[in-house]
This record gives sequence, structure tokens and C-alpha cells, in this order.
Amino acid sequence: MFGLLTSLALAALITLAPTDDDAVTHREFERLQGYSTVVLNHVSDRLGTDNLPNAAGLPVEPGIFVTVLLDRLQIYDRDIVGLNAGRLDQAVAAHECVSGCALTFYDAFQETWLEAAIESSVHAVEIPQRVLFAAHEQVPARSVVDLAYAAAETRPVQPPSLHLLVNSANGGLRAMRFYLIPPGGLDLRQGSAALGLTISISRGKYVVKATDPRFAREHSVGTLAELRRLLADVKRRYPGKESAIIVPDAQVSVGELMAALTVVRPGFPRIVLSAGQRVRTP
Amino acid sequence: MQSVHLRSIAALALTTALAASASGCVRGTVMAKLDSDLAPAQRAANSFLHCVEMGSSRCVKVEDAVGGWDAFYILGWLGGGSPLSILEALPNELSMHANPRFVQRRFVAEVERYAVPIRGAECDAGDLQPIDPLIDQVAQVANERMVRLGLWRGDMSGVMQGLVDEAHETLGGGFLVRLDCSHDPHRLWVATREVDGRHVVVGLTTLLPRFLGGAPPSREDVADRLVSRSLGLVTSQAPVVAGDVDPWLPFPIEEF
Repeated sequence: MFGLLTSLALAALITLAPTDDDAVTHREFERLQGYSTVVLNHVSDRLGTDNLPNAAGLPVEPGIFVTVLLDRLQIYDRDIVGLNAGRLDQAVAAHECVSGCALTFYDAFQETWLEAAIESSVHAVEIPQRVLFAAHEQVPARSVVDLAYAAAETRPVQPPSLHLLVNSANGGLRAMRFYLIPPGGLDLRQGSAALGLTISISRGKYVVKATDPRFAREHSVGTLAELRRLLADVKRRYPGKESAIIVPDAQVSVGELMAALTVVRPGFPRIVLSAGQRVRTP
Repeated sequence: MQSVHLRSIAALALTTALAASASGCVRGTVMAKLDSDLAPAQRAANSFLHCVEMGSSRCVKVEDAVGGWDAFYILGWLGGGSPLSILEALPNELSMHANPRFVQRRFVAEVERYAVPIRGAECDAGDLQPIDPLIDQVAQVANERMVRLGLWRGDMSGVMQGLVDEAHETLGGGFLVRLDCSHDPHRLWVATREVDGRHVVVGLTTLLPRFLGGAPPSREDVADRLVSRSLGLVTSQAPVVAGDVDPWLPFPIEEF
């Protein structure tokens, strides 16, 4: 009823509305520059692109950008919380966060999505479908994983696509897409064709295993060269597999994670991060 | 003895029921009494909400819809909104702002969007702030932010000054009134201005930049709003693609 009446009122308003040539006009307003430049400006100013991990990536596409500095977390250009060497000093898990992500991170992203939803309703724009993480290479990789879960678990409707910003030798600022194991773990079906290749990373140690019963045993290697050889062998045996689950421990930095990924990605370009979520087979 | 006791209970119940009924019938009188302690702008805000609650078509009048509120809102959005939405929507927003019909339509659309939830939200006018200093504050923050983000381009200086001037011109002397609600949308802000000696509401929003809006909403309020019907998210469904590993891993199981 109200909608009908206000629609009628609106029709009257439109009919009666005067023209106003004095109102602010955008006729001379130039088209704004690309979003990647905005992100680059911010990352350069706050973090310095040299402090991003080095890797190849794809062009940066629009999304919510998150900057993880050693001393603070920002979403867009807003300070969210102070960090100590890239970690929360006193991390309390949010009870709603199935993955166990920090309350501070969960609340920050929940509020960000709400603001995005309101902006979407007022300005007729899409709610962002990507989240871009620019993290200092010395920040613990688990902080980024925790943030990614917080961002993904709070987004309405479905998880966003997640991207880690990297410094590419030839291309400057680039984005590397990654996925997450579902926050409550992943249940594979009976007879699933999944390999479930999983690489647990700690400093100076890489443990490789898989859920496929034909993958005989767990392998542990100590260097990236050994890891490269091991993964080349796995790829020969499973040429159709493209994914690797990466589980960094609490001591591994973003830079160390990325160094491992440069070895993993040639054979298994689809990177799935995990904070220890289990992949269960029947 | 027992019958006397029962009669007393019945009389008490009847009195209570009559009192409740009377307060429901003369709701306006009760509110007027409570409103006596409020400033005119707060009373205008409460009256506007009551009007919206009753579904009246006269809540938004043609003379009340002014570009100044729209200008103020755009400045606030530039100062605190997401750079992503600014980059995507600013040219169109400025284009629409130049057209009074769109300005009016936007105000009506916002009122319509929240009309249903407002009816059961139990909102009441809270703090109010004179709007003139807020216009200057929001303009300064927006200016600095646009420069910092690298979004300051072309005729931006003229655009920003035009928005500030327009906001002062048509909102000058007005107030920004916060309305606290028990339920979704939990918090509203309305702008008022004085017209012929009375205060009228000329704008409404549920999102104000943090630097203007005071304390952030509680986490429970945020969670509640994210599933509210007014934002339309609760009815949306994620697409399901056959053969994917999982909604979180949207690629073929054969490659996993």
C-alpha cells in the first residue's frame, strides 16, 4: 500500500519537478582512472610494492582490498586493528566463524559486507565478488589464511574469489588467485576421483600426502629443490590434477609460502589454502 | 472471600486491558507528551517516522526533497565509502545528482526501502547535530581522501565545491538526527531543515561514514542487517554448478 502511494507521490514529484541548471554537473568530469591504479597507489604508499612477495600473477581486477602490514590491518584505506609482527596480540575466535577465525577479523569483514550491501542498494553497484590481499612478505601466512576465511565466511550469498597480490618482475602489481578448503573441512564422496594432494609447510620442511589410496605414503622433504622433484613425480603419475592444498604452519611467512608456491604452481596451478581443515574420505 | 478475590483480579485485568487499549487508540497523544522534551528537529524526525509507519503518501513532499541532502550524502560517500563503488558509480551519481527528479526519486526509494522494517523497529530520535559544521567536515575528509587514493581528477575541485555550496544552501541551519531502533534497521539518520518556521525531514540514510556517525553498530546489529529483507540478501541463492568439488572449490572434481 505504501509502495503504491509513494509511487503515486513520486509520479507527482516528477511531473512537478523544476529543472535546475545550477546543480552540480558532471559534464566536464573526466573518467576516473583504473581501479588497479588506486590499489597500486595505496599499496605503494602503505606497504611498498618491494615488500610484497615476488611471483607471477594475473592483472588486478576490482575487489575489496585488504592490506596486511606488520603493525596493522587495513580494509580499503581504513585502519581496522593493530598487529604485532603481522599477528593479532590476543586473538579470540569468533563463535560464528566455523574455521575458527579471529573475532576482530570476522567483525571487520561482516561490517565491510554490510556497507557494501548498503552501497549496492543506494548506488546500484554490485557487491564485490573479489577480495584482494596485499600482505607484507614477513607477515605470517596463517594471518592471511585467517583473514581469508573471515572474508569468505561473512560474505552474503556465497564466498568471494580470493587473490593474493604479488610483485611480478615484469608486470608490477599482479594477483594470484587462491581457494580455501571449506571452513568445516571437505567430505569427498565414495569413489571420488580426487587426489587431494596436500602439502604441509613448516620452516625447512615440506610434507606431501594425498587422499587417493593409490598415493602410497607421506613424503617429507627439507628443501624446495627436493619438493620440486617430488611434485614433478606426482604430476607424472597424476597428469590431470591441477590442485594442491597448502597448509602453512604458524611460523611460515607469506614470503616463504610464496617461495614454496613457485615450486608448486607449475604443476599444480590451482592453490587451495587451509588452516588445517581436514579432507575426509569415506 | 474467594469470589471477592476473583472479582478484584477481574477488575484489575479489565483496568489493565482498558489502559492498554486506550494507549493504543490515542498513540499520537502519548507520543506528543513524550516529544515535549525534544528539540523541534527531533520531533520532526519522530513525526516523519510515524508518518512512514502509517504508510502515508505525504511523508515526502515535493518541496522537501532537496539537492543539498543528496550533495551531503555524496560527500560522505566520497569520504568513507568504498573506493570500488566510488570508481564505478561516481560519474553516474553526479549525473543523477544534476537532475532534481532523480534526487527526489532517491529519497522516495530510500523511504520505501525501509518503510516495512521501520514499522516494527521501535525507533526513537536520539542525538542531533547541527548540519553546517558536518558539511565542512565531510568535505574536508572527502577532499583529502580523494587525493590520497589517487581519485582526484579533472574538474574534481569544482565538483566538490559545488556539492559543498549546494549542501550549505539548502540544508543550512538544519540538523542531522540519529534515530535508534530496537530492530532492523537499528539505526537511521535523518536530515531536517526549517521551512516556514517548522522543521521537515529532507533526507534519510542507514549508513553514515564512521567519522560522522559516532560509535559503530554492534556485531549483533550488523549480523541482523546482513540478513534483513530491506537489503534483499536473505532471498538470494548462490548458483550451484554440477561437477564442482564444493561451492568453496568451484572447479571440476577431476582436477582436484
